[in-house]
Amino acid sequence: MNAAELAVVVCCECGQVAFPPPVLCPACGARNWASEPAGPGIAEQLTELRRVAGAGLEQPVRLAAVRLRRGPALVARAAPGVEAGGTVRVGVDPDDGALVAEVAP
Amino acid sequence: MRAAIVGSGEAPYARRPPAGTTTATALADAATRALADANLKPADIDGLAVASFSLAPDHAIDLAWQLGLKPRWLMDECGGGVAGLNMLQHAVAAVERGEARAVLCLAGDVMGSAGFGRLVDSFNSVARRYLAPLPHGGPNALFALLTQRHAAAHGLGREDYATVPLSQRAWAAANPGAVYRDPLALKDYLDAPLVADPLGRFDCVPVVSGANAIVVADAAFAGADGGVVIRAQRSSFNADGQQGEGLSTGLATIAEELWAAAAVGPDEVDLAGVYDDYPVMVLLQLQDLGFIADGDVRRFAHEWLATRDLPVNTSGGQLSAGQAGTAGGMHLLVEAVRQLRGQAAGRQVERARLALVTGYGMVLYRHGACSSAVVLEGGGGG
Repeated sequence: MNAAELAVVVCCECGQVAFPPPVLCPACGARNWASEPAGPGIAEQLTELRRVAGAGLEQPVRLAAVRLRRGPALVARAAPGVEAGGTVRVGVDPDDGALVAEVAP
Repeated sequence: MRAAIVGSGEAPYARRPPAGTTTATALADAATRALADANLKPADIDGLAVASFSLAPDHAIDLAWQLGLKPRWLMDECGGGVAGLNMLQHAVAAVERGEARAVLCLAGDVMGSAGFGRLVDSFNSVARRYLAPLPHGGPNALFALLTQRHAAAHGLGREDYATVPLSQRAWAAANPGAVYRDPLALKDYLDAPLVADPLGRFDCVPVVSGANAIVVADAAFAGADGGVVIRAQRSSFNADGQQGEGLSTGLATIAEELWAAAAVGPDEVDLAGVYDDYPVMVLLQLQDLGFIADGDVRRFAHEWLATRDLPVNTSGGQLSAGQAGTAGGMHLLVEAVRQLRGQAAGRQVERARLALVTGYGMVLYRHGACSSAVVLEGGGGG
Protein backbone atom coordinates (compact mmCIF):
# COMPACT_ATOMS: atom_id res chain seq x y z
CA MET A 1 0.00 0.00 0.00
CA ASN A 2 1.81 3.10 -1.20
CA ALA A 3 -0.96 5.68 -0.86
CA ALA A 4 -0.50 7.98 2.14
CA GLU A 5 -3.52 7.93 4.45
CA LEU A 6 -6.05 10.70 3.87
CA ALA A 7 -6.20 13.48 6.48
CA VAL A 8 -9.41 15.03 7.79
CA VAL A 9 -9.58 18.26 9.78
CA VAL A 10 -10.69 18.51 13.41
CA CYS A 11 -11.97 21.77 14.91
CA CYS A 12 -9.66 22.86 17.74
CA GLU A 13 -12.57 24.59 19.48
CA CYS A 14 -15.40 22.03 19.38
CA GLY A 15 -13.92 18.80 18.00
CA GLN A 16 -16.07 18.72 14.84
CA VAL A 17 -14.50 16.41 12.23
CA ALA A 18 -14.84 17.60 8.61
CA PHE A 19 -13.98 16.59 5.05
CA PRO A 20 -13.49 18.17 2.54
CA PRO A 21 -11.83 20.82 4.73
CA PRO A 22 -14.14 23.84 5.17
CA VAL A 23 -13.00 27.39 6.01
CA LEU A 24 -15.12 27.93 9.10
CA CYS A 25 -16.36 25.16 11.38
CA PRO A 26 -19.99 24.36 10.42
CA ALA A 27 -20.72 23.53 14.07
CA CYS A 28 -19.16 26.46 15.96
CA GLY A 29 -17.83 28.95 13.39
CA ALA A 30 -14.20 28.75 14.53
CA ARG A 31 -11.35 28.83 12.01
CA ASN A 32 -8.76 26.83 13.89
CA TRP A 33 -8.25 23.35 12.45
CA ALA A 34 -5.91 20.46 13.21
CA SER A 35 -5.14 17.78 10.62
CA GLU A 36 -5.55 14.16 11.71
CA PRO A 37 -5.62 10.74 9.98
CA ALA A 38 -9.02 9.94 8.47
CA GLY A 39 -9.13 6.51 10.07
CA PRO A 40 -11.23 3.58 8.83
CA GLY A 41 -14.59 3.74 7.12
CA ILE A 42 -17.23 1.62 5.44
CA ALA A 43 -17.60 1.40 1.66
CA GLU A 44 -21.39 1.75 1.78
CA GLN A 45 -22.16 1.65 -1.96
CA LEU A 46 -20.11 0.80 -5.04
CA THR A 47 -20.72 1.60 -8.68
CA GLU A 48 -18.80 0.92 -11.86
CA LEU A 49 -18.60 4.03 -14.02
CA ARG A 50 -18.50 2.82 -17.63
CA ARG A 51 -19.12 5.89 -19.78
CA VAL A 52 -18.39 9.59 -19.53
CA ALA A 53 -19.00 12.50 -21.90
CA GLY A 54 -16.11 14.15 -23.70
CA ALA A 55 -12.73 12.39 -23.68
CA GLY A 56 -14.24 9.13 -22.43
CA LEU A 57 -12.75 6.48 -20.18
CA GLU A 58 -9.83 4.19 -20.95
CA GLN A 59 -11.48 1.53 -18.83
CA PRO A 60 -14.37 1.36 -16.36
CA VAL A 61 -13.59 2.72 -12.91
CA ARG A 62 -15.10 1.46 -9.64
CA LEU A 63 -16.16 4.22 -7.26
CA ALA A 64 -17.25 3.93 -3.64
CA ALA A 65 -19.34 6.05 -1.32
CA VAL A 66 -17.44 5.85 1.97
CA ARG A 67 -18.64 6.86 5.44
CA LEU A 68 -15.70 7.33 7.81
CA ARG A 69 -16.08 6.03 11.34
CA ARG A 70 -15.21 9.57 12.44
CA GLY A 71 -18.24 10.93 10.61
CA PRO A 72 -17.48 12.50 7.24
CA ALA A 73 -18.76 10.99 3.98
CA LEU A 74 -16.63 10.94 0.84
CA VAL A 75 -16.29 9.46 -2.64
CA ALA A 76 -13.22 7.40 -3.53
CA ARG A 77 -11.88 5.15 -6.25
CA ALA A 78 -12.31 1.55 -5.06
CA ALA A 79 -9.18 -0.61 -5.08
CA PRO A 80 -9.48 -4.28 -6.09
CA GLY A 81 -11.14 -6.37 -3.41
CA VAL A 82 -13.26 -3.59 -1.93
CA GLU A 83 -16.87 -4.72 -1.59
CA ALA A 84 -20.05 -2.95 -0.47
CA GLY A 85 -20.27 -3.03 3.31
CA GLY A 86 -16.56 -3.70 3.74
CA THR A 87 -14.21 -1.77 6.01
CA VAL A 88 -11.74 0.40 4.11
CA ARG A 89 -8.77 2.66 4.64
CA VAL A 90 -8.74 5.81 2.49
CA GLY A 91 -5.48 6.90 0.91
CA VAL A 92 -4.36 9.53 -1.57
CA ASP A 93 -2.97 8.16 -4.83
CA PRO A 94 0.57 9.58 -5.15
CA ASP A 95 0.31 9.72 -8.95
CA ASP A 96 -2.96 11.55 -9.56
CA GLY A 97 -4.12 12.79 -6.14
CA ALA A 98 -7.34 10.72 -6.23
CA LEU A 99 -8.81 9.37 -3.01
CA VAL A 100 -8.52 5.58 -3.02
CA ALA A 101 -10.44 3.18 -0.79
CA GLU A 102 -8.48 0.04 -0.02
CA VAL A 103 -9.42 -3.03 1.94
CA ALA A 104 -8.49 -2.23 5.55
CA PRO A 105 -5.48 -4.23 6.75
CA MET B 1 -47.81 46.18 -7.25
CA ARG B 2 -48.09 42.51 -8.19
CA ALA B 3 -45.62 40.70 -10.43
CA ALA B 4 -46.60 38.09 -13.02
CA ILE B 5 -44.85 35.95 -15.58
CA VAL B 6 -46.15 37.53 -18.79
CA GLY B 7 -44.13 35.68 -21.42
CA SER B 8 -41.86 32.71 -21.99
CA GLY B 9 -39.67 31.30 -24.73
CA GLU B 10 -37.33 28.49 -25.63
CA ALA B 11 -34.53 28.57 -28.20
CA PRO B 12 -34.61 25.19 -29.99
CA TYR B 13 -32.78 22.40 -28.16
CA ALA B 14 -30.34 20.43 -30.32
CA ARG B 15 -27.66 17.79 -29.87
CA ARG B 16 -25.66 19.62 -32.55
CA PRO B 17 -26.76 23.24 -32.94
CA PRO B 18 -26.64 24.94 -36.36
CA ALA B 19 -23.25 26.39 -37.36
CA GLY B 20 -22.73 29.84 -35.92
CA THR B 21 -24.77 29.18 -32.79
CA THR B 22 -23.10 30.59 -29.68
CA THR B 23 -24.31 30.89 -26.13
CA ALA B 24 -25.12 34.56 -26.75
CA THR B 25 -27.13 33.83 -29.91
CA ALA B 26 -29.09 31.06 -28.16
CA LEU B 27 -29.88 33.38 -25.22
CA ALA B 28 -30.88 36.12 -27.71
CA ASP B 29 -33.13 33.66 -29.55
CA ALA B 30 -34.92 32.70 -26.32
CA ALA B 31 -35.21 36.38 -25.36
CA THR B 32 -36.77 37.32 -28.71
CA ARG B 33 -39.32 34.53 -28.41
CA ALA B 34 -40.25 35.49 -24.84
CA LEU B 35 -40.67 39.16 -25.76
CA ALA B 36 -42.88 38.23 -28.72
CA ASP B 37 -44.92 35.94 -26.45
CA ALA B 38 -45.30 38.81 -23.96
CA ASN B 39 -46.08 41.28 -26.75
CA LEU B 40 -43.32 43.57 -25.44
CA LYS B 41 -40.52 45.46 -27.17
CA PRO B 42 -36.88 45.42 -26.04
CA ALA B 43 -37.32 49.01 -24.88
CA ASP B 44 -39.96 47.82 -22.37
CA ILE B 45 -37.33 45.67 -20.59
CA ASP B 46 -35.66 47.47 -17.68
CA GLY B 47 -34.31 44.46 -15.79
CA LEU B 48 -32.03 41.61 -16.90
CA ALA B 49 -31.00 38.38 -15.16
CA VAL B 50 -28.69 35.86 -16.85
CA ALA B 51 -27.55 32.34 -15.96
CA SER B 52 -25.06 30.41 -18.09
CA PHE B 53 -21.92 28.32 -17.65
CA SER B 54 -20.66 28.80 -21.20
CA LEU B 55 -21.21 32.57 -21.55
CA ALA B 56 -17.87 33.10 -19.78
CA PRO B 57 -15.90 35.28 -19.84
CA ASP B 58 -18.99 37.40 -20.48
CA HIS B 59 -21.55 38.25 -17.83
CA ALA B 60 -25.04 39.76 -17.70
CA ILE B 61 -23.70 43.25 -18.44
CA ASP B 62 -21.89 42.04 -21.57
CA LEU B 63 -25.09 40.41 -22.77
CA ALA B 64 -27.10 43.58 -22.01
CA TRP B 65 -24.73 45.44 -24.31
CA GLN B 66 -24.94 42.76 -27.01
CA LEU B 67 -28.75 42.72 -26.85
CA GLY B 68 -28.99 46.51 -26.84
CA LEU B 69 -30.69 46.60 -23.44
CA LYS B 70 -30.23 49.44 -20.94
CA PRO B 71 -31.54 47.89 -17.73
CA ARG B 72 -31.71 49.61 -14.35
CA TRP B 73 -31.70 46.23 -12.54
CA LEU B 74 -29.14 43.51 -13.29
CA MET B 75 -28.40 40.03 -11.92
CA ASP B 76 -25.78 37.37 -12.62
CA GLU B 77 -27.04 33.97 -11.53
CA CYS B 78 -24.87 30.86 -11.11
CA GLY B 79 -27.27 28.32 -9.61
CA GLY B 80 -27.32 25.68 -12.37
CA GLY B 81 -30.43 23.57 -11.82
CA VAL B 82 -31.96 26.14 -9.50
CA ALA B 83 -31.05 29.14 -11.68
CA GLY B 84 -34.46 29.62 -13.26
CA LEU B 85 -36.29 29.65 -9.96
CA ASN B 86 -33.65 31.76 -8.26
CA MET B 87 -33.93 34.43 -10.96
CA LEU B 88 -37.71 34.27 -10.71
CA GLN B 89 -37.61 34.82 -6.94
CA HIS B 90 -35.34 37.87 -7.25
CA ALA B 91 -37.14 39.30 -10.30
CA VAL B 92 -40.53 39.10 -8.58
CA ALA B 93 -39.13 40.98 -5.57
CA ALA B 94 -37.60 43.62 -7.84
CA VAL B 95 -40.88 44.22 -9.67
CA GLU B 96 -42.97 44.25 -6.50
CA ARG B 97 -40.57 46.77 -4.89
CA GLY B 98 -40.83 48.99 -7.96
CA GLU B 99 -37.15 48.61 -8.85
CA ALA B 100 -38.00 47.36 -12.35
CA ARG B 101 -41.19 47.04 -14.37
CA ALA B 102 -40.22 44.21 -16.72
CA VAL B 103 -37.37 41.80 -16.04
CA LEU B 104 -36.05 39.45 -18.74
CA CYS B 105 -34.65 36.25 -17.17
CA LEU B 106 -32.39 34.15 -19.42
CA ALA B 107 -30.74 30.75 -18.96
CA GLY B 108 -28.89 28.70 -21.52
CA ASP B 109 -25.74 26.99 -22.68
CA VAL B 110 -24.09 25.94 -25.91
CA MET B 111 -21.32 23.40 -25.31
CA GLY B 112 -20.39 20.09 -26.84
CA SER B 113 -19.58 16.98 -24.84
CA ALA B 114 -15.94 18.11 -24.56
CA GLY B 115 -17.11 21.41 -23.07
CA PHE B 116 -19.35 19.48 -20.69
CA GLY B 117 -16.39 17.36 -19.58
CA ARG B 118 -14.31 20.46 -18.85
CA LEU B 119 -17.24 22.02 -16.99
CA VAL B 120 -17.80 19.11 -14.63
CA ASP B 121 -14.11 18.61 -13.87
CA SER B 122 -13.77 22.26 -12.87
CA PHE B 123 -17.30 22.72 -11.53
CA ASN B 124 -15.94 24.00 -8.22
CA SER B 125 -12.73 23.74 -6.23
CA VAL B 126 -13.80 20.51 -4.51
CA ALA B 127 -14.71 18.81 -7.81
CA ARG B 128 -11.39 19.88 -9.30
CA ARG B 129 -9.41 18.49 -6.39
CA TYR B 130 -11.38 15.46 -5.19
CA LEU B 131 -13.67 14.30 -8.04
CA ALA B 132 -11.86 15.00 -11.32
CA PRO B 133 -8.87 12.69 -10.49
CA LEU B 134 -11.11 9.66 -9.71
CA PRO B 135 -12.21 10.26 -12.55
CA HIS B 136 -15.93 10.97 -12.19
CA GLY B 137 -16.95 12.39 -15.60
CA GLY B 138 -19.77 14.42 -14.08
CA PRO B 139 -22.54 13.66 -11.66
CA ASN B 140 -23.68 10.31 -13.12
CA ALA B 141 -21.61 8.18 -10.74
CA LEU B 142 -22.57 10.31 -7.73
CA PHE B 143 -26.27 9.87 -8.48
CA ALA B 144 -25.75 6.16 -9.16
CA LEU B 145 -24.49 5.85 -5.57
CA LEU B 146 -27.39 8.01 -4.33
CA THR B 147 -29.90 5.90 -6.30
CA GLN B 148 -28.51 2.75 -4.65
CA ARG B 149 -29.12 4.31 -1.22
CA HIS B 150 -32.64 5.36 -2.22
CA ALA B 151 -33.44 1.96 -3.72
CA ALA B 152 -32.33 0.23 -0.53
CA ALA B 153 -34.29 2.63 1.69
CA HIS B 154 -37.55 2.20 -0.25
CA GLY B 155 -37.16 -1.30 -1.69
CA LEU B 156 -37.18 -0.11 -5.31
CA GLY B 157 -35.85 -1.70 -8.50
CA ARG B 158 -35.02 -0.44 -11.96
CA GLU B 159 -38.63 -1.08 -13.11
CA ASP B 160 -39.79 1.44 -10.52
CA TYR B 161 -37.34 4.17 -11.51
CA ALA B 162 -38.31 3.49 -15.15
CA THR B 163 -41.74 5.04 -14.51
CA VAL B 164 -40.09 8.48 -14.60
CA PRO B 165 -38.29 8.37 -17.99
CA LEU B 166 -41.03 6.26 -19.61
CA SER B 167 -43.88 8.56 -18.59
CA GLN B 168 -41.87 11.63 -19.54
CA ARG B 169 -41.08 10.14 -22.95
CA ALA B 170 -44.82 9.62 -23.45
CA TRP B 171 -45.37 13.34 -22.74
CA ALA B 172 -42.45 14.26 -25.03
CA ALA B 173 -44.17 12.63 -28.00
CA ALA B 174 -46.48 15.66 -28.08
CA ASN B 175 -43.75 18.26 -27.64
CA PRO B 176 -42.10 19.15 -30.96
CA GLY B 177 -39.36 20.92 -28.98
CA ALA B 178 -38.19 17.72 -27.27
CA VAL B 179 -35.01 16.24 -28.74
CA TYR B 180 -36.12 12.63 -27.99
CA ARG B 181 -39.74 11.85 -28.88
CA ASP B 182 -39.74 8.21 -30.03
CA PRO B 183 -41.72 5.87 -27.75
CA LEU B 184 -39.62 4.26 -25.03
CA ALA B 185 -40.59 0.79 -23.80
CA LEU B 186 -39.56 -0.79 -20.51
CA LYS B 187 -37.44 -3.32 -22.40
CA ASP B 188 -35.55 -0.53 -24.21
CA TYR B 189 -34.92 1.12 -20.85
CA LEU B 190 -33.70 -2.06 -19.15
CA ASP B 191 -31.58 -3.18 -22.12
CA ALA B 192 -29.83 0.16 -22.62
CA PRO B 193 -26.11 0.26 -21.80
CA LEU B 194 -25.29 0.93 -18.17
CA VAL B 195 -23.58 4.24 -17.45
CA ALA B 196 -22.90 3.61 -13.76
CA ASP B 197 -24.95 0.86 -12.15
CA PRO B 198 -27.85 1.04 -11.55
CA LEU B 199 -28.13 4.03 -13.93
CA GLY B 200 -28.52 3.26 -17.62
CA ARG B 201 -28.52 5.57 -20.61
CA PHE B 202 -32.17 6.60 -20.15
CA ASP B 203 -31.60 7.60 -16.51
CA CYS B 204 -29.12 10.28 -17.57
CA VAL B 205 -30.04 13.56 -19.22
CA PRO B 206 -28.75 14.03 -22.77
CA VAL B 207 -26.51 17.09 -23.08
CA VAL B 208 -27.97 19.51 -25.65
CA SER B 209 -27.59 23.16 -26.55
CA GLY B 210 -30.39 25.65 -26.06
CA ALA B 211 -31.82 28.43 -23.93
CA ASN B 212 -34.97 29.48 -22.10
CA ALA B 213 -36.45 32.83 -21.15
CA ILE B 214 -39.26 34.29 -19.09
CA VAL B 215 -40.45 37.86 -18.64
CA VAL B 216 -41.41 38.82 -15.09
CA ALA B 217 -43.31 42.09 -15.09
CA ASP B 218 -45.85 44.29 -13.43
CA ALA B 219 -49.11 42.41 -13.94
CA ALA B 220 -50.32 45.43 -15.91
CA PHE B 221 -48.11 44.15 -18.74
CA ALA B 222 -49.97 40.84 -18.84
CA GLY B 223 -51.98 40.01 -21.93
CA ALA B 224 -55.63 39.02 -22.04
CA ASP B 225 -54.91 35.77 -20.14
CA GLY B 226 -53.78 37.75 -17.10
CA GLY B 227 -50.34 36.12 -16.91
CA VAL B 228 -49.07 33.63 -14.36
CA VAL B 229 -48.78 34.81 -10.77
CA ILE B 230 -46.68 33.43 -7.94
CA ARG B 231 -48.72 31.99 -5.09
CA ALA B 232 -45.61 31.28 -3.01
CA GLN B 233 -41.94 30.43 -3.41
CA ARG B 234 -39.41 29.15 -0.88
CA SER B 235 -35.77 28.09 -1.28
CA SER B 236 -33.10 26.26 0.70
CA PHE B 237 -29.33 26.18 0.25
CA ASN B 238 -26.72 23.86 1.76
CA ALA B 239 -29.36 22.13 3.88
CA ASP B 240 -27.15 19.21 4.95
CA GLY B 241 -23.58 20.40 4.47
CA GLN B 242 -23.10 17.47 2.01
CA GLN B 243 -22.88 15.08 4.95
CA GLY B 244 -26.36 13.54 4.70
CA GLU B 245 -27.27 10.69 2.35
CA GLY B 246 -28.90 12.99 -0.20
CA LEU B 247 -32.20 11.13 0.20
CA SER B 248 -34.06 14.32 1.00
CA THR B 249 -33.40 17.81 -0.35
CA GLY B 250 -33.76 21.26 1.14
CA LEU B 251 -37.38 21.10 -0.06
CA ALA B 252 -38.22 18.95 2.96
CA THR B 253 -37.31 21.91 5.20
CA ILE B 254 -39.52 24.43 3.39
CA ALA B 255 -42.48 22.30 2.20
CA GLU B 256 -44.81 23.08 5.07
CA GLU B 257 -44.21 26.81 4.84
CA LEU B 258 -44.53 26.76 1.03
CA TRP B 259 -47.95 25.09 1.02
CA ALA B 260 -49.19 27.28 3.88
CA ALA B 261 -48.12 30.44 2.07
CA ALA B 262 -49.66 29.17 -1.18
CA ALA B 263 -52.89 28.31 0.66
CA VAL B 264 -53.16 25.01 -1.24
CA GLY B 265 -51.81 21.50 -0.77
CA PRO B 266 -50.01 19.08 -3.07
CA ASP B 267 -53.31 17.34 -3.89
CA GLU B 268 -54.64 20.56 -5.42
CA VAL B 269 -52.01 21.24 -8.11
CA ASP B 270 -52.95 20.41 -11.69
CA LEU B 271 -49.41 19.69 -12.86
CA ALA B 272 -45.85 19.63 -11.60
CA GLY B 273 -42.45 20.38 -13.06
CA VAL B 274 -39.97 18.48 -10.90
CA TYR B 275 -36.27 18.93 -11.61
CA ASP B 276 -35.31 15.71 -13.35
CA ASP B 277 -31.56 15.38 -13.61
CA TYR B 278 -32.14 11.74 -12.58
CA PRO B 279 -35.32 9.67 -11.99
CA VAL B 280 -34.47 9.29 -8.30
CA MET B 281 -34.56 13.06 -7.85
CA VAL B 282 -38.11 13.29 -9.21
CA LEU B 283 -39.37 10.70 -6.71
CA LEU B 284 -37.40 12.17 -3.85
CA GLN B 285 -38.50 15.79 -4.37
CA LEU B 286 -42.14 14.76 -4.74
CA GLN B 287 -41.80 12.97 -1.42
CA ASP B 288 -40.11 15.98 0.18
CA LEU B 289 -43.05 18.13 -0.90
CA GLY B 290 -45.71 15.82 0.50
CA PHE B 291 -47.03 14.26 -2.71
CA ILE B 292 -46.45 10.74 -1.37
CA ALA B 293 -48.59 10.94 1.72
CA ASP B 294 -48.24 7.31 2.81
CA GLY B 295 -44.53 7.08 1.95
CA ASP B 296 -45.11 4.20 -0.49
CA VAL B 297 -42.82 5.43 -3.25
CA ARG B 298 -43.27 2.39 -5.47
CA ARG B 299 -47.05 2.58 -5.44
CA PHE B 300 -46.93 6.32 -6.10
CA ALA B 301 -44.59 5.83 -9.08
CA HIS B 302 -46.84 3.25 -10.71
CA GLU B 303 -50.23 4.73 -9.78
CA TRP B 304 -49.51 8.39 -10.46
CA LEU B 305 -46.47 8.72 -12.74
CA ALA B 306 -46.69 5.66 -15.00
CA THR B 307 -50.39 6.38 -15.62
CA ARG B 308 -49.67 10.10 -16.02
CA ASP B 309 -52.66 10.75 -13.73
CA LEU B 310 -50.42 13.34 -12.07
CA PRO B 311 -48.99 15.34 -14.98
CA VAL B 312 -45.27 15.64 -14.18
CA ASN B 313 -42.74 17.17 -16.59
CA THR B 314 -45.20 17.40 -19.47
CA SER B 315 -42.57 18.70 -21.92
CA GLY B 316 -40.77 15.39 -21.55
CA GLY B 317 -38.51 17.07 -19.03
CA GLN B 318 -34.78 17.15 -19.32
CA LEU B 319 -34.70 13.36 -19.65
CA SER B 320 -36.44 13.58 -23.06
CA ALA B 321 -36.27 17.25 -24.11
CA GLY B 322 -32.57 17.42 -23.21
CA GLN B 323 -30.52 19.34 -20.67
CA ALA B 324 -29.20 22.54 -22.19
CA GLY B 325 -26.85 23.26 -19.29
CA THR B 326 -28.25 26.03 -17.12
CA ALA B 327 -31.41 26.16 -19.25
CA GLY B 328 -32.35 22.92 -17.51
CA GLY B 329 -33.07 25.06 -14.47
CA MET B 330 -35.66 27.10 -16.40
CA HIS B 331 -37.05 24.54 -18.85
CA LEU B 332 -39.71 23.17 -16.50
CA LEU B 333 -40.73 26.69 -15.48
CA VAL B 334 -41.33 27.62 -19.12
CA GLU B 335 -43.36 24.44 -19.62
CA ALA B 336 -45.52 25.19 -16.55
CA VAL B 337 -46.12 28.74 -17.78
CA ARG B 338 -47.16 27.39 -21.18
CA GLN B 339 -49.55 24.93 -19.56
CA LEU B 340 -51.09 27.60 -17.33
CA ARG B 341 -51.56 29.91 -20.32
CA GLY B 342 -53.11 27.20 -22.49
CA GLN B 343 -50.17 27.12 -24.90
CA ALA B 344 -49.24 23.43 -24.60
CA ALA B 345 -50.99 22.19 -27.74
CA GLY B 346 -51.12 18.39 -27.97
CA ARG B 347 -50.19 17.88 -24.32
CA GLN B 348 -52.34 20.56 -22.71
CA VAL B 349 -53.54 19.61 -19.23
CA GLU B 350 -57.28 20.36 -19.13
CA ARG B 351 -58.28 23.31 -16.94
CA ALA B 352 -54.71 23.71 -15.66
CA ARG B 353 -54.77 26.47 -13.05
CA LEU B 354 -52.17 25.59 -10.40
CA ALA B 355 -48.66 24.28 -11.03
CA LEU B 356 -45.75 23.35 -8.81
CA VAL B 357 -42.21 23.79 -10.17
CA THR B 358 -38.95 22.85 -8.47
CA GLY B 359 -35.29 23.51 -9.10
CA TYR B 360 -32.40 21.46 -7.71
CA GLY B 361 -28.74 21.69 -8.40
CA MET B 362 -25.15 22.65 -7.81
CA VAL B 363 -23.46 19.42 -6.75
CA LEU B 364 -20.94 20.69 -4.20
CA TYR B 365 -19.40 17.27 -3.58
CA ARG B 366 -21.80 14.33 -3.17
CA HIS B 367 -25.19 15.77 -4.17
CA GLY B 368 -27.02 18.99 -5.01
CA ALA B 369 -27.07 21.83 -2.50
CA CYS B 370 -29.66 24.22 -3.94
CA SER B 371 -33.41 23.71 -3.88
CA SER B 372 -36.35 25.93 -4.65
CA ALA B 373 -40.06 25.37 -5.22
CA VAL B 374 -42.77 27.69 -6.49
CA VAL B 375 -46.55 27.39 -6.71
CA LEU B 376 -47.82 29.17 -9.81
CA GLU B 377 -51.36 30.17 -10.73
CA GLY B 378 -52.66 30.95 -14.19
CA GLY B 379 -55.32 33.42 -15.24
CA GLY B 380 -53.61 36.25 -13.35
CA GLY B 381 -54.63 34.54 -10.13
CA GLY B 382 -58.19 35.79 -10.62
